[in-house]
Amino acid sequence: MSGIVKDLRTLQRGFRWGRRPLAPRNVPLPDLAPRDFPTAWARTPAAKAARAAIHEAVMKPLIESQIRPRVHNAHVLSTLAPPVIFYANHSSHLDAPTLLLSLPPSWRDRTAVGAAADYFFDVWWRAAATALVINAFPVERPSR
Amino acid sequence: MSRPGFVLEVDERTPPILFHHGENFRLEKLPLGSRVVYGPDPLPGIGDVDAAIEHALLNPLGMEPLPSLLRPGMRLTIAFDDISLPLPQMRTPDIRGRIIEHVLRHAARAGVDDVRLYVANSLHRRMTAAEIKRAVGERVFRSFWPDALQNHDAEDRDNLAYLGKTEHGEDVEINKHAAESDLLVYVNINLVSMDGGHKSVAVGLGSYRSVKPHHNVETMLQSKSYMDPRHSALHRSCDRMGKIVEKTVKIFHIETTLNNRAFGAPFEFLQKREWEWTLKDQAAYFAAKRANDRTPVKTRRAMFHKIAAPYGLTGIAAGDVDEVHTVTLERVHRQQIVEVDGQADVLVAGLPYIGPYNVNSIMNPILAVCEGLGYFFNMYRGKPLVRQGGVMIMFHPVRNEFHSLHHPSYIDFFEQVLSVSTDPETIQAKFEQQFAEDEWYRHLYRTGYAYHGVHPFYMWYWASHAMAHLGDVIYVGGDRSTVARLGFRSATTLADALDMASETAGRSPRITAMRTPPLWLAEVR
Amino acid sequence: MTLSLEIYRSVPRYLAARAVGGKLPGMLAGPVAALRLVHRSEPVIDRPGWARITPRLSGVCGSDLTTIAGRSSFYFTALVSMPFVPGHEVVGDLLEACEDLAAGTRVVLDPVLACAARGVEPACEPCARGERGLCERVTGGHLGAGLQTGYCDDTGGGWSQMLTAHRSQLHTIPDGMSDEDAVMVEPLACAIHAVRRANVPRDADVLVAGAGTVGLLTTLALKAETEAARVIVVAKHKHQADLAREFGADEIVSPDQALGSIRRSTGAFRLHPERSGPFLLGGVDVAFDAAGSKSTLDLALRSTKARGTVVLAGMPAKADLTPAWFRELTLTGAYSGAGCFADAIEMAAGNNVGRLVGAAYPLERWREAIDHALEAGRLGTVKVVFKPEGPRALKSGGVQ
Repeated sequence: MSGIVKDLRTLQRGFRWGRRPLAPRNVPLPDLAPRDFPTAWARTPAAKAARAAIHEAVMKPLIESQIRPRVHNAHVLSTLAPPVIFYANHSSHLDAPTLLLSLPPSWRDRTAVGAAADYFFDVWWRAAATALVINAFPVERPSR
Repeated sequence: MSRPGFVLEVDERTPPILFHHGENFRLEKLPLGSRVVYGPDPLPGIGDVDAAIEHALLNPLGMEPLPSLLRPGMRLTIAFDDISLPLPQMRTPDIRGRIIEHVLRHAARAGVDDVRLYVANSLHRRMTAAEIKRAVGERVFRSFWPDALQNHDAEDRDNLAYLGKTEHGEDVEINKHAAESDLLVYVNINLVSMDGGHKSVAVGLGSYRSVKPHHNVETMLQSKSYMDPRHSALHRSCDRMGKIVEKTVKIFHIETTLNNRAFGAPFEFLQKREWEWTLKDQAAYFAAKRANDRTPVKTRRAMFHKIAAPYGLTGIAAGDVDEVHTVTLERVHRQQIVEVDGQADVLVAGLPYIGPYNVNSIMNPILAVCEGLGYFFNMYRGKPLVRQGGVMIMFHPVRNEFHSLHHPSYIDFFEQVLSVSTDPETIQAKFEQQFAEDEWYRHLYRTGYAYHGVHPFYMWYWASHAMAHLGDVIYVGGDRSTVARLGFRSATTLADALDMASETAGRSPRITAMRTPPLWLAEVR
Repeated sequence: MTLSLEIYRSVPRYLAARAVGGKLPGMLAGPVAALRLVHRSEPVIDRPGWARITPRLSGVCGSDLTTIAGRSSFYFTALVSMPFVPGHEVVGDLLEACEDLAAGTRVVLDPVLACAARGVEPACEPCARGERGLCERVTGGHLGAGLQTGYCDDTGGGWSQMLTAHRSQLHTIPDGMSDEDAVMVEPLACAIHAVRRANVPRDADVLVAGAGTVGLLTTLALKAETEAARVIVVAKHKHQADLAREFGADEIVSPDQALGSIRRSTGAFRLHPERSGPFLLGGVDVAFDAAGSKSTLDLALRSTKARGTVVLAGMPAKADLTPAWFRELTLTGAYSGAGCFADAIEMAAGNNVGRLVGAAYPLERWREAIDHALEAGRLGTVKVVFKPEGPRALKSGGVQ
């Protein structure tokens, strides 16, 4: 038992659990782990069901308490066949949920949202939450 | 992109460093300012190995293509490196088998019937049938075993041919069947820069009489190091002998080089730089260490020796021995060389569970000495990693445990010889002949799976340069009385070892730690 | 779009940072920090005397870390405009010409946003005197509130790929000076200013409590500018002690030994109150709190002799001011390095202060940078900087 504790402590102290990784001074920083967060799991039937529930129970009331969206020309959707790209000509965290909720359920189920990898996918829990709630996938925004 | 090797300077941000400790590992936090030498990343392996082999056979260096050397009615002998290479063993199919199949295909096409294969095991133990099958592949094994595929027997007087003396008076004697062949094809794996070249045939197919001239203390003391053929009396002697051999038999010499990818899943963390360890690597380390701590040594040993390495082939060359070996050494260096500035006062190394002479076997105390003070100490060109009079600290359990089947003469060496003296020259003068000519050891070597009676002496000689060079040798974690018999000191922890070392190296020594795996060769300036 | 790190208003994060930051500092570089990496719209210059700068290196200062940890005094809320890009220790290149300075000139930034930068006319009384650091109009003019670049929404800040600055904030540096030396100019200017504010008498005993960036540079300035008899530095970590020695400290002590050592050197009496730390009757003439922590400020107050001076060289923590009253101490604040940049540039060049820069991180790795900076002392580092790598002005004109 003490062996386990000793080994764990060596690892915890030596590799700074709970802190960010560090490189020794005369060594270049190792490459950032690629932010390729897998999101396929968020499109499985189970996840879709969970997402639908979250939309109904949480997102819809929340959005509707803040804004009153008015949907125009929704009939256009019946003339379209996928693939389709929806653009918001606005810039706010509310855009994606509003857009999703304004789509009819059959479209909403099959819509995935591109979200900034550096913001939404930088930590695993935010990545998972974003993938689950709005069916997001990461998009890299290069700095240069 | 394979990164070159480099030297880390330990600071407050450095995680603990991984070391081998026999059949286990340890993470050690080194003192600030210590240097740690890391080997280069593995070079990419050749994709189409068969194409590369064919290309080498049809476009040899300094010689006609293989098919033009083959004709009906000729005697063809194929010799190949034994189980002491590579380390760890490579995943099947072994490169030796692949090359031999290509050669045999050409031979069959040319109508060659008289073909014999030999394991070039010199005075090492014979390989078992299973081990040989693993090396040459099932098809070759089935076609040639047991009559036309054999271990070389260095004590079979009827199958040894005396070829003469070199200009230095060294006796040259090799396997008779090979010497009387029309063509001798040798298949080598050049793991380190000590291997290959004229050493392959002259030593691999040699006898005690012809190995004695360079496997002795004086030669070792003039091989600085034997990883650097330019400055190695061992290699100069082998080269002289090789020239005599070449006068007798034509050698089509095939050499291969491998990258240093020695450990695949789940042991990749062994070769990763510690600050690049992901949580997964840390978990893998933890799991391995827990399993090791709880498993008895025997089981552990069996598990470890089953590990096969996912090597990539970095090159293959065939033809004239000298020309081929020049190319081979370049490739070995490209994969292994790390530049190191300056020598240390204290050299720290973790000794692995495997060495050339204990594949599928036990690393007994004498082999632990050879591994550390022989191989690890000599992995340099230029100057040793540690200064004259410095200290070498090694991690190894050094158990009083011997494999009675493989290393019987070692047991007696440990009991009888080392209890009298640990000085290589004294040992050589007083005891070598007796062990070399002992009938019982000879019997075990010829019919069992034992290393030749003289072999433990060679292990000790292999460490003689280090013994002359160092001021102190400390084994951390070693069994106290066993290490004492070897003539060295033991400590329980690295901190204690450094404390003991301060007697020789002072309180603030320059420390260099050898981070292996992978294997590398230091170019010390 | 300019890649920038931004501090933004978030009450839950602020509370979380205050709650857990002390015990789980790893969280401050993670979920609880009200700091995010964003693409801000590129700054535009619409006034004369302004230019855009591409930072080469931007330092992480203790005050930045205090803000991230939610421990800054609320006093500052009136002096900042959220969201702002932090970073007030900057060496960078001008993206376009600024009055007499050509495009591409390498400059260091004096971050104070005083009347000249804000277009306030007539200038306030301190600005008119030349004391920009004491400007009384740091919330006025055409810029939003912000005592410095690095606290103002309109100017941007050092932790980004582009910020704007007024000519009054720019100082050129010699070509041969390294970027690392240059990024230390602003903290060095602050240190020089603090030393001048202290009016250290000849043959004084001086204590520097803290051996991080502020403490080490204060030591350097003390040895260069004053005739103090002895400079005693309190250093917690070995690398700090080594550097303090290199910068000329006469005596270096660890935190627990400090009071005892001062007592011995100055022949003071030591008293041990109940439920409170020990203090001296007697002690040093001048003490600098160079770490802004409770322990360093307490040490400074309790080891200074009567009528001595305690200099608050960094944003101070809370402290028991009883010694200040009882020993009739002079408590002196020292803020910014305005007015000392020329001397700081000269001192930086000759003393290899760039060696204090222990690590440089790109903006994308800000979590590692902050995590490192929060524990810098224990990790053997003095100064952590950002290396934003933004666009540069090409020699031909135009921007790469």
